[in-house]
Amino acid sequence: MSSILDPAASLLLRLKWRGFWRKQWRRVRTPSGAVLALVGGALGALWLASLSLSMFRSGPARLGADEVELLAQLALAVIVVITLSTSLSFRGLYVPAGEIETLFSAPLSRPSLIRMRLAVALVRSGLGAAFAGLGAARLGSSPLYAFAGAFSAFLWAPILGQGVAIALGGAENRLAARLARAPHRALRMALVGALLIGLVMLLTQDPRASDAPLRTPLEQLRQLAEQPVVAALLSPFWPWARAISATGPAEFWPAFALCLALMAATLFAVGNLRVDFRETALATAAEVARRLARMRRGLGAGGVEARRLPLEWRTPWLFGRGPFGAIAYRKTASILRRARGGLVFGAVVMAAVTLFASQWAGPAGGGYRAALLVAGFGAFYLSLGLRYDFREELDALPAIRAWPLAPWKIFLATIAPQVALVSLLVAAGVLITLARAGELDLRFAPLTLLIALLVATWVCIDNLAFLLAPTRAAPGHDGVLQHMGRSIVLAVLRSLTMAAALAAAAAPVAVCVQLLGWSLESALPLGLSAAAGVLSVEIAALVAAGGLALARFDVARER
Amino acid sequence: MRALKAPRAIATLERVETSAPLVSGASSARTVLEVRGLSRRYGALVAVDALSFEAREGEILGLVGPNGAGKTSTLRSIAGVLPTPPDVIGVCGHDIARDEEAAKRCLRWIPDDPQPFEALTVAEHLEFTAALYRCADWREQARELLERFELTDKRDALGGELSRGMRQKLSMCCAWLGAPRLVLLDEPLSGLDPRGIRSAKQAIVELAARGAAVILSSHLLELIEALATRLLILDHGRCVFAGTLDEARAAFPEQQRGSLEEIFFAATGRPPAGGGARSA
Repeated sequence: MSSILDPAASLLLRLKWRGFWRKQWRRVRTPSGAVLALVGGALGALWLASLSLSMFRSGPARLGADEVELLAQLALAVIVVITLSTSLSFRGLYVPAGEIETLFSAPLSRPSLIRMRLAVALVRSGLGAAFAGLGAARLGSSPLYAFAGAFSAFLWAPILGQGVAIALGGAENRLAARLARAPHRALRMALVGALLIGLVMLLTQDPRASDAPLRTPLEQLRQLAEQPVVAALLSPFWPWARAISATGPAEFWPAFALCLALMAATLFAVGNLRVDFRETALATAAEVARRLARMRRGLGAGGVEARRLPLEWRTPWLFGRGPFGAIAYRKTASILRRARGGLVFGAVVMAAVTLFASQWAGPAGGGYRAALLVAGFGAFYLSLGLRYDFREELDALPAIRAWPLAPWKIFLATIAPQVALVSLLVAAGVLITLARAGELDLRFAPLTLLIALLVATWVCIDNLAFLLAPTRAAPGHDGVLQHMGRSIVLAVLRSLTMAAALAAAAAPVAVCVQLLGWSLESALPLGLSAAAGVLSVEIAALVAAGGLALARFDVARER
Repeated sequence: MRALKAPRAIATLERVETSAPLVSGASSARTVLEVRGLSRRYGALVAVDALSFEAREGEILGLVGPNGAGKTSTLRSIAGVLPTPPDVIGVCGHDIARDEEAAKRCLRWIPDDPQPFEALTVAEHLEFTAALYRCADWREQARELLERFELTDKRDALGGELSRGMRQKLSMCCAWLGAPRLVLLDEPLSGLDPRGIRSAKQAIVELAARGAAVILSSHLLELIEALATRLLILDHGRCVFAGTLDEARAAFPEQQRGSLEEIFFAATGRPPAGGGARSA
């Protein structure tokens, strides 16, 4: 490495590598860190072991070498396309925002920076490549050849992606001024025109190709791969596909040697790119840092950014104009400005579930069965999917604790908009389901109330657990094992608590049916009322506990 | 370095005369930094507009201006973090666009919120910096710097564990290591405690006394007034004044006895006369 890398860059990589293991060691030295790492590590080890064992077993349907080669070629094409499309979001050379000022002002050549980054990328993709190799080993005629071929392919793809990102960044720099002056409308028209031409070509293509009846999906794929354009596009992946599907050394070694040669050539070409990537790298680093910061604030996988609503939209004050209402208003505004995509997606999922439930329940008398399905799934799915609670407040918690309101009220006001939103969406689904079945009657009202109470119970438990054991992890952060272990432990604890809460709520009905011998129908009105009462008491207790947790919250406990 | 030529695009702009005598005894000092017609745009926003100035050995150049005046963009361009065209920035005789590594070897850059490498210890940061700038026999100097900036007991702390003030101190230790010819400091006292502030001020003065040119960007005008031997006041990316404090008082007659703060408001509180720079 030293002969390829600048000595200082080489030293930095060595120090960072040492630092990485030192941090892991420091994390497992605490009892909780050790236990959580053990839980996370055990899960990872189990997965790896199952993959490794399956490597020596035949797959469900052993494929011929030709078929494996075809599948490998297509799979690699898909993976490379995904890698390249990801590279478009990381234009230039990605350097973490915290390091960019140091590294860009340092006397290091740009190729040296690229090589340093490539070394990091190779190490990072090693684990993923190993998993991919183990997966491929199940399909190949020879597990070891298949592993080696897939492993090298998964190391090569990120190098190629990095090269494309740098080259595109360079092209962007050169073209930026021209593109800025280019007539955007004309460009858009050209793009739309190209798409239309492509569509027309697709519709008017020679139908003879589909004359022969097709029997299997594999045959369809083969036919696709034999198209001249597709065959040309797939040809770069042939060496890896041949290595993966090789049945003996005579097939494997020439193909694998070609793989290694291509990888070395790509490494050399990318490592010697003469592109000034500073502008694009700075923009990329800033964008990634913003996204990570949003994800650390708990704004979902996409790290959704707040967007300004049209001026005529007004965020409603749903819970009055007092301090409680103000906190809830703040959260409502956050939901409306950040969650529009999530809301639309949630609504679409609810619509699909409503449709499915109606068909599943059948035409006669099944309205309430379908409504219960919608209510159960909706409350579960939306409570997990639409999380706009304390997770996004972690950075602001010290300030929130200073607000002039009792902690339990702050807790309640913060979760109230999410509970209202999820309950509203689920109730709408239930209403539509019952209306479609023609069974909309007075029972709808208590069902809606029960839904709101169930959602509130879950959101309270979820937020209480978060305040007691705050955790936030984002890609690129270390402590993956601990985070995985912690997530599993917390998920189990939350589920157990929810199960206990539901059991307590269902206890009155169970007592009526099991001990007193009532029929379910006659026990339901009393049972549901009692369940609502039990849930209300539970929610009150959880809110009080949430207030205590908020009052005692210590930011320093965050891992 | 070849003589820096003003790009054609700024040929019409009034050139800022920066060869005014420095504080006594410094006029014979060699030029460490030459900036000629530096411009920087972010989309439609002109962050730096045809800026020209110099910094010489032993000089502490105070860079002041309101938010968005272009101070940080200027410093990042000089540091080579932002690309610049050839013949615009020269450091120790090396054009930063043509001879980038040689130019960067002479300078150190401390941004306003320095971020150390998360997994490296304080001592390892110094080891890396020594390798980066090819400092020979650096260990003794590193020990002294750690002591001076009160980081000796933090030498095994990880970069990610340091507080804001500690990060600032660590970045100063790294910047002071070796014999930098040009040091760029953006708000260097942020997060420092009173003792740290005193140490940092003293270290800056000593660094300049050893012959380095220091460019000190800060909103703390008392700091600039106390340390800077020359001023560069920016507004909307343009130089509105360049010279010593006495020359500033002369340039703004209504501020004959005024502090830097009053001169600052006089210089930036109205559009520069004739659109050009006022210089001593």
